Amino acid sequence: MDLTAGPVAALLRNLGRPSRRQFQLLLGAGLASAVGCKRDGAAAPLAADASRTPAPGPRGDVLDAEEWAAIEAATERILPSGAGVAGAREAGVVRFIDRQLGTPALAPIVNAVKLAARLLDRWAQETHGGRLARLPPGQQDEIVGALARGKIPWKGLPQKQMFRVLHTLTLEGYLADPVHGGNAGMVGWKAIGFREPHLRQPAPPGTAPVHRHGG
Amino acid sequence: MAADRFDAIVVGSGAGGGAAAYALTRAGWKVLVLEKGPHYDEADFFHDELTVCRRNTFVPSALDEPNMVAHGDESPARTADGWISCCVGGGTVHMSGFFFRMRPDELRGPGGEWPIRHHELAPFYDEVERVIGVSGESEGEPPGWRRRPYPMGPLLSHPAGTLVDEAGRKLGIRVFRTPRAILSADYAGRKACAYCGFCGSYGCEVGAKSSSLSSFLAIAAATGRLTLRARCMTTEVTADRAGRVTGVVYLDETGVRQRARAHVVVVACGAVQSARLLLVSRLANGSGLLGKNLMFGTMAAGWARFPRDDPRWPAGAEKLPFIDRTVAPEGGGTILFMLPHPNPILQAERLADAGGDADAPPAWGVELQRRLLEFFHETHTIEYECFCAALPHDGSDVTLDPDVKDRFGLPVARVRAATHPDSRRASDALDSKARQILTAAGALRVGTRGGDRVYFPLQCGTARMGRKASDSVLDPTGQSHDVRNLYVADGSGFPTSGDAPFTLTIMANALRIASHVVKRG
Repeated sequence: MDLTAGPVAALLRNLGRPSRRQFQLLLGAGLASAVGCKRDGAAAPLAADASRTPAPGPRGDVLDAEEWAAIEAATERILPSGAGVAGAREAGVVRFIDRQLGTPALAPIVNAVKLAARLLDRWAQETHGGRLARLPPGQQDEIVGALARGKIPWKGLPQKQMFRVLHTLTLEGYLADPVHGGNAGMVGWKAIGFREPHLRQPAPPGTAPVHRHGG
Repeated sequence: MAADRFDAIVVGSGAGGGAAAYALTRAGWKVLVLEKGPHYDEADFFHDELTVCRRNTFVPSALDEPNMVAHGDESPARTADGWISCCVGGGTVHMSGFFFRMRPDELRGPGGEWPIRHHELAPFYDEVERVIGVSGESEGEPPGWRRRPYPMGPLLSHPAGTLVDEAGRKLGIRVFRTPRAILSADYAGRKACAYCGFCGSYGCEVGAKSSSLSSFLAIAAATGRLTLRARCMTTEVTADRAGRVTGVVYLDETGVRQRARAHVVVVACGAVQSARLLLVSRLANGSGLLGKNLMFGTMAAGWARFPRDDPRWPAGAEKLPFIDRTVAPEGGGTILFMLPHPNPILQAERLADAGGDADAPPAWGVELQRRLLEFFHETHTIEYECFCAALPHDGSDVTLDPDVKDRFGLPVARVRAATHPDSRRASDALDSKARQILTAAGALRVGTRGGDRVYFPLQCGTARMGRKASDSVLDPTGQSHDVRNLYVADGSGFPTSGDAPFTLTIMANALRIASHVVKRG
């Protein structure tokens, strides 16, 4: 028997038991107040980042261009391409994530993902002089690994939980039906040798599932 | 508006509610079934993992209808855990359908004792199996387990099942076919299984899964005496001053408060939600035991890897998704062997989480790719799930959360979930045994998934049956000691959980309860 509860349940489980304040940050108590939490001894909080000049490159409906680039880079490190196997970038995981963040069910974790993106970029800047997407893979792994272990010296953010959220979304974006925006060209399914499930019939993009439970 | 009047109202349409509705309508009663979830039918069932298993198709959102669940001593967290399934047919729509009877010795345990004899339950087991369609092979089962054969033979088995058979022979352990609530042949107007392998977590578009939806409720509807209202959340069960149930209050699908009256009310929302509903209604708790003795299925699970070129996985065999082997060791408990669930995201998550402690990050990067390659390309896997009796104890119960309310304004269920140490020990022993069997089958590597053994979709105990009103919530017929004509027909009344998934017992016991309802008139 097998039942996986809905994503917010799973993701909230993955968020573990952050402190009440952390939980509020993650549930969008206000991006401003969230990014206002400061690095130990840092001059400026995440929001007022002087180096956040608008960057060229794709952006999503929810993720701005820098966040898109950071999430694309981070998720590619979580599930990298190699040995003829597609990784998260090729699968379009960041596009999946952006679309998911626009759904009501995942509204509560939009903050967690944006904060993760900004935190990764900020730490990349501080340690290696460039945003995450600009660094070579080895250095990107250092940054992402630091988030995974909760080792970025930034108080008040549940880093391990934020990493788990990114990790879960990466797997989903890699292996969900392509209609959801990831698993582009079924590269994820091909990578694992998964034949299309009998009776996929997923909901067409943009439509709600057949019946919903209020929200 | 004038209240609707019925002979009986059934709250919840799952294993217990569906069975009760079937029995009462067949006995000539006019029955209203209220189901808080939607009414999916076969046309609504498709195999998109993200939509069906990972978004809020079968369970409510933890944002607006959470349970507050505390594991062990930790503080409660907002989650959808504890909901079984909110739709017409309840958990039976997305169950895998492992359908075991309880044996006489399982009705008595260290934690409690059923106030009935097994022979009072037995005819109803026969009826459930015959009416809904359960497939199995009694020849291999331990002697004395059953008198009647199954209504139909077992489902086709993947050849890898023979690995388990041989291991059993080597170790002197009996291996038999897992009885399934899935049709192995066309039956009672429904089509046989199409072997797609998407049983667990999905509705069956073929109608071969013997859910309450495809069987009990369809038969009840055909009597013309069933009124089924989906998207109707029951908010209160009502009773008069004389201690007789009078009906329910519910929110209809537009959110408007409605009343319905009936001679009998049968509550069957699952042990967590049934307790919650009655606590909110301030009924049926003269004993103080409502919500106590909560037992969740005690489940351990793991895996074994076999070589990719093992001849038991010939080309084309992937069309056969079932191994369906069971071992029932002497000391108790049930070990089920199966092939991995086809859900890719689920398997990838499990691979990423394997081996680390709770605090460690999931595997990522090159290590994650390595694990995906090993599982999906370099090996074959047989998985196991083992169940043993859950024991009631002081650390496991359902109460009303003092702070958190759902979107209907009702206090949500606060659940303390913890496995009794004796259950844990028994579970660990079964876990080892399962790996021993698979090692004897020739596994390259075996492993256990770990975890706290709490399996939420199997839940029982919160309105325990007993003879005395002082130490039980329900009498032996499933009626409240305190409120006449109020019955609870899901797993809430169980004094013991038994050694295996107990959905079949919920159905059989619900039919037994319904027979008392009808006898009383």
